[in-house]
Amino acid sequence: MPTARDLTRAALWMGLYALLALFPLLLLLAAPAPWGGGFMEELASALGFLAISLMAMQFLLTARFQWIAPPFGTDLVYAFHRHVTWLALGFALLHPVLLFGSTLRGALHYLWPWAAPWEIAAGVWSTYALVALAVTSFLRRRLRLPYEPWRRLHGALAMVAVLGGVWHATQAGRLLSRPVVRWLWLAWTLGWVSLLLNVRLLKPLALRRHPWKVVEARPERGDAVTLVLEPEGHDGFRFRAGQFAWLTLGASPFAGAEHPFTISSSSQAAPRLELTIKAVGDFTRRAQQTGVGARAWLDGPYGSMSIDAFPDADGYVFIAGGVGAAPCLSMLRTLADRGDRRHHLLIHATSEWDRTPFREPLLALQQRLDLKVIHVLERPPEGWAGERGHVTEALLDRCLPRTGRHGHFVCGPGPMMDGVETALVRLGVPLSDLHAERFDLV
Amino acid sequence: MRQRLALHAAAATGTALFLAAVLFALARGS
Repeated sequence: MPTARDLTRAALWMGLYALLALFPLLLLLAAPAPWGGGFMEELASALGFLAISLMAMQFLLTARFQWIAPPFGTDLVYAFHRHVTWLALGFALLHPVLLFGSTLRGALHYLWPWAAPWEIAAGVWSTYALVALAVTSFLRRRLRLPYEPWRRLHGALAMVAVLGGVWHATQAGRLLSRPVVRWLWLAWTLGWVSLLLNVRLLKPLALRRHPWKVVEARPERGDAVTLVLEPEGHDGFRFRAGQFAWLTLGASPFAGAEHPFTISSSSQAAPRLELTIKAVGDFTRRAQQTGVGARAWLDGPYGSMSIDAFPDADGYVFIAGGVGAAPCLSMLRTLADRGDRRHHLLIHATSEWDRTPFREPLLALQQRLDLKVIHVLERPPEGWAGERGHVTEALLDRCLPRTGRHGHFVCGPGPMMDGVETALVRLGVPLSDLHAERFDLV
Repeated sequence: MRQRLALHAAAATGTALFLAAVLFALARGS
């Protein structure tokens, strides 16, 4: 189970988040509007304000503040961001249902916003944008929406959703009739929205002064490539092994959408660093064709998964799928550079032996570390004497160390991580010893 | 397993906020 400290920190963050989301209601109670409505009308208004709060605070969760990630891990912050969409949508839909009550049928014509008064239409458009946000994000892969256009659409729809809601609340509602309340609420809401500027404008502007250069592009087995990057005219950044950075390729940081990739090199080798990228989408395929000398931009480091977050373990267990082993490689290389003497285990699941990345660097690491590597092949070659199939609970039960306290790192495709995480917990690995971050964020 | 933590956190937050909205309506509603 998570430690008491983790739980306390998580509870504190959740409490703070809920309190921030409630700020508009507290403000409306502290300086109430001169006239009120019935219970249902007030409940409808409260849910409307909460929907706008949740939408506006979505910008906080993705504003890349390092201090938000622990104790959850960046992937859980993004997972929470996705779940909150349904909360905001639920509250936004309850708002008109409760407001109109039995007369809802008569208000259905508002569903065609161009037929509605504009202050109502703003709220309807806001809800439509929220529905479109949910559909395009949850079904992005099924709709075959490439990442870059999706990201631009996501930003635009998010702005329509929040600004439509804000317009609706200030014009159609009665609770914001006091100027001081209206202005305080507007500043509070638009403050969150401005965080989008931080990610999409201020950060890229700051990155312009810190260009990186691709000094080597090394093909890896399994449709992957390792880009070796060096800072140009600056000191780069220090990172903890296991962390990731957002990469943009092109003449400027605004040249294309950024993508998160884990660093696969040793943290001791900074500022030079390596990113291993598997061709799965439009950007990753383009990244594979990147030549030596290309300009790159890195925003990082991010993420809380690292051996350094669990330094006093008796050893580490890495369970990786395919090119997902990149962060494990970074952690192993760092351990080797530090002269680590503990026993470590890597279970690496891949489809075929010829498509298994990092075979040679892992062999070299076994010379420098007390490291056992177990390859698990889905389609093993003839005469293969090693493990085959998938990383199952039975396999883990056979291979995991029996004594001492180990840090467990799981990196790979989502379904594999689900299976391995569940199996590890069933085998008695405490959640606090389990470290994992998913990078297929959308 | 870990991913479920985010779902639980969102569900708990949603429930808390909805209850707070009910309290708000009780405090203000006529």
